[in-house]
Amino acid sequence: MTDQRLRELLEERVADVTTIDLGADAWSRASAVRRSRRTAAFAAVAAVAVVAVVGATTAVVTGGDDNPAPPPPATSPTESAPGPKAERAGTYGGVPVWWAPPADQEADLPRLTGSELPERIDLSARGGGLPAGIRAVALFQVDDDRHRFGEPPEGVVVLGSDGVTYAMDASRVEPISIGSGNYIPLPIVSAESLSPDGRYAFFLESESLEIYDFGTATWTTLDLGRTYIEARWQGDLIEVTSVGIDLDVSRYTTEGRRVYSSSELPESYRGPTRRDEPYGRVARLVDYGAQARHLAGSVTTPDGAAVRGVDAVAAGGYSEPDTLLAMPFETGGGRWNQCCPVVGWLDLETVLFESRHDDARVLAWRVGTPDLFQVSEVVGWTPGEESYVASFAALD
Amino acid sequence: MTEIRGDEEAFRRWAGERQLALLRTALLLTGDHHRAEDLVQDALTKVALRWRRLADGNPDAYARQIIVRDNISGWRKRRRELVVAEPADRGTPDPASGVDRRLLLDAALAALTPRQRAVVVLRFYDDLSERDVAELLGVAVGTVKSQTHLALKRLREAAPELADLLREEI
Repeated sequence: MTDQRLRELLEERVADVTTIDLGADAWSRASAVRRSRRTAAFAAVAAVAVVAVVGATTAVVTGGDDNPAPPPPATSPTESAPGPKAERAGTYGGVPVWWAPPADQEADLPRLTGSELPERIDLSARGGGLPAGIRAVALFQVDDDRHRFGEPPEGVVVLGSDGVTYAMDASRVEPISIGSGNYIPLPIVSAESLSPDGRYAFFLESESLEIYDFGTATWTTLDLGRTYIEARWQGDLIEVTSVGIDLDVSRYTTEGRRVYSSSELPESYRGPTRRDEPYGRVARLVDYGAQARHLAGSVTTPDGAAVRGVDAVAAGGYSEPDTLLAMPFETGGGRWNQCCPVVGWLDLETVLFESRHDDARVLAWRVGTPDLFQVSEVVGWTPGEESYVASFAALD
Repeated sequence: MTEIRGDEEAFRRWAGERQLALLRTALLLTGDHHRAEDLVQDALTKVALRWRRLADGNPDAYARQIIVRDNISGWRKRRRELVVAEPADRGTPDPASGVDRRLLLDAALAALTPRQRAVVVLRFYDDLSERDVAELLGVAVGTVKSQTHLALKRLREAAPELADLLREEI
């Protein structure tokens, strides 16, 4: 099929299309929107300015207010909110790079509401109390190294769809053992633990997975009989990758039944260069993907300096990124190494990611634009003494 | 008031000249006339809202960008709900027939992802450069190239009858 023939086919396909006059109606609708905006502006609480809507239920409001007004009718998705912005500068591996504002400006970012994540996620819940029948939005494990000594793992916290954090008793899970009573200091929660629908979670053991059903509050053991290098959800199945004599990729139901086996590795998220170190989960939505990575090469900052060792959120294409959001270096504090694992896509324009530093947050980036938003603060842990693992359900 | 009336007249003049082209682009992007009209209507409304800022710039590009991006977002929301019944067997389509050729093209375009479809329509119908398509979609030029390659490959696979006919016509 030549380019010219394709042109002709496309032109032929729409050659007989005629239209009624849409312009007059569009002007009338725009006038009505202007009027409703003026009315909303008069009625709004002073200092609260709702400036944009992302999707049908997600609104962006300016930061610093705990009681945002309800959003007005949807406006252009390209409209910006006031506050710190990402700045476009340079490319990396041919991919355009945006630079996020420094961590200490995050509190001034406009707030994005309407996702299932609350403004504040408190990880201090302890001692059980997780009811049956909830759906989880996120699963955390505050990592205090207790499991290193063979004691039952603690610090597992569930964020329910009701916005409440619950302590979860995961003492049933055996910390990963290397024999002779030695335990590898790894958390039992991984970034992949929570199922996309928030109904199940798996917890890591040496040669098995413990699967928890939030609906019935029951556990199932998935005995793999071998060590594995990765476990993650593929829809409502758990995909386990292990390497023995051969590579094996098997998928299991939540009841522990194997329904698929392959010797091919699942598709990864590549680039921009092979030397970059990806981390955290790959989040996919339709034909978009996103994953955080530690960039191996040098990147040019907005002030023209070339820097190395930059963390970035890579997002866009299904298998490789179209664009990067780089995290600037800061003196005195700032984001941590591997600060920014991807949380997931909120819609086809917006990716959520963690920003880990002493005041950890979940942020949102309207991919390929300067627009950044704060979503949640993560509190109830002790920076410097503790860290945490987080796993999120699908938020789109 | 006079200024507003002048804006409205200028907008209507622009919309009158451009809406058919935008509708045709939207139809190629969606394959659905009603959906295409909705997309154009929304895009024109958004252009009207910003008419003073856009009038001296490039309202065409802005409108096209809204149509493409809204279509991709809308497709995601519809995807899980849409259940298409198996079509009745209508026999082998004849690419020499204009009607069958149209059906074949519709089916082939439907095999593309929304972004691949957008790349094909913007490159080969709207005749935009790779750089312009990249800017409109907010992606790198290399991505436009790779998506174009993938899209054309998938088009050929989805409509071999069409591809064969075209080869014979060359």
